[in-house]
Amino acid sequence: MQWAAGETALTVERPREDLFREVSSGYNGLISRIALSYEADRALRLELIQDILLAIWIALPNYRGDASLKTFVASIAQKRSISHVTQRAQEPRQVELPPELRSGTLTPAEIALDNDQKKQLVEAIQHLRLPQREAIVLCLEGFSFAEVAEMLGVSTNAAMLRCQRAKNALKTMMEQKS
Amino acid sequence: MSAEFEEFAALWAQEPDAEERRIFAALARTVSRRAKMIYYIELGLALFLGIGVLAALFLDQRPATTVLVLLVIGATAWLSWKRYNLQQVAMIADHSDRERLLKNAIASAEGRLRYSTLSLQFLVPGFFLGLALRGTVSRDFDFFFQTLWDSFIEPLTLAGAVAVVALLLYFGYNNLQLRRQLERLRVLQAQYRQEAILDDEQKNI
Repeated sequence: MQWAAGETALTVERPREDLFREVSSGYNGLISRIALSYEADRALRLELIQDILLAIWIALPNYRGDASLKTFVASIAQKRSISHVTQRAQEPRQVELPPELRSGTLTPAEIALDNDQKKQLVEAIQHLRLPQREAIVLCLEGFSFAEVAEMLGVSTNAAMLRCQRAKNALKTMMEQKS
Repeated sequence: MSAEFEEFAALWAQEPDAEERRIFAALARTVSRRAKMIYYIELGLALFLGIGVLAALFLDQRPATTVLVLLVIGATAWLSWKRYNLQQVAMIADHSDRERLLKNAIASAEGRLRYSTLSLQFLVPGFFLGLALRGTVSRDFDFFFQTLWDSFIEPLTLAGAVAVVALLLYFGYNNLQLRRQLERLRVLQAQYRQEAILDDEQKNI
């Protein structure tokens, strides 16, 4: 961030705080889900979310608005999660999900079915190879292939192929589980 | 994409419940508070150091003091700049190029592993060398082993030995962790390379 004439450290802190508030209120689902795809253990996942938030706080002054804030956040969250995976000595595979994933207008039976399917989906995603996992998570989050490609540093075509392979692998795993 | 994918996406993109959102908000507040606290501590330390060196310069105006003060200011500025750059590189640069990201991570882990292995290798010999040097300086070399034993049963030496054992355990654990991390990084690098090969193969079909 460039300081304009008369600006002080305290005045440039303000936009960062505003942006951070926007990130923490608007992208909590995105960050939590990316963390969930890399970390099955709840306590470690909360640590990972905290690390991601800290990385975002540090990186925010460099946000120029070239890409959307969502892309910026997802990109940092993915990178921080990869570091987390490589630094961990053990990788627990138990999936722990909140008791109620959705509280809308569904009946208890529908919620149970939905939760079971979501559990299977999360487990399947966590078992994907990391290059495919990060591609499919970004696709599921609604990013276009061009955005996924930019975040992963590959061509749009390669991003599309990776998502396709990941989707096929997910489908096979889900079928096996059910 | 297919209807199946849309189904996956709908399942995946469910928003966290109220409890999860509350925990997330608390984490965000902690992060923002901690980051600001670190910033102000660093600022305070920098001010303290600045006032200290200026006071030294004012109270003692010898050329040697001036040179020392300038060196301290230069070193602090240089270290701060390096730290800032490292932070930026770690957080921002190469964020899209996984090959470079992993290459850098592997190089960094290898460096830390070398340091850890060297520490493990030199810790015990270094400790005994220190004891031996102390013995040869204070007593006759003919009684080398007696001197060594005498030194070893002194409380201070025993405390040193305990510290060495603790350090050995720490570096041993650290070494193991770094080896595992390096292994993971190499597996990951291989996975990314295989994926890139698959991308190329399918592109050409």
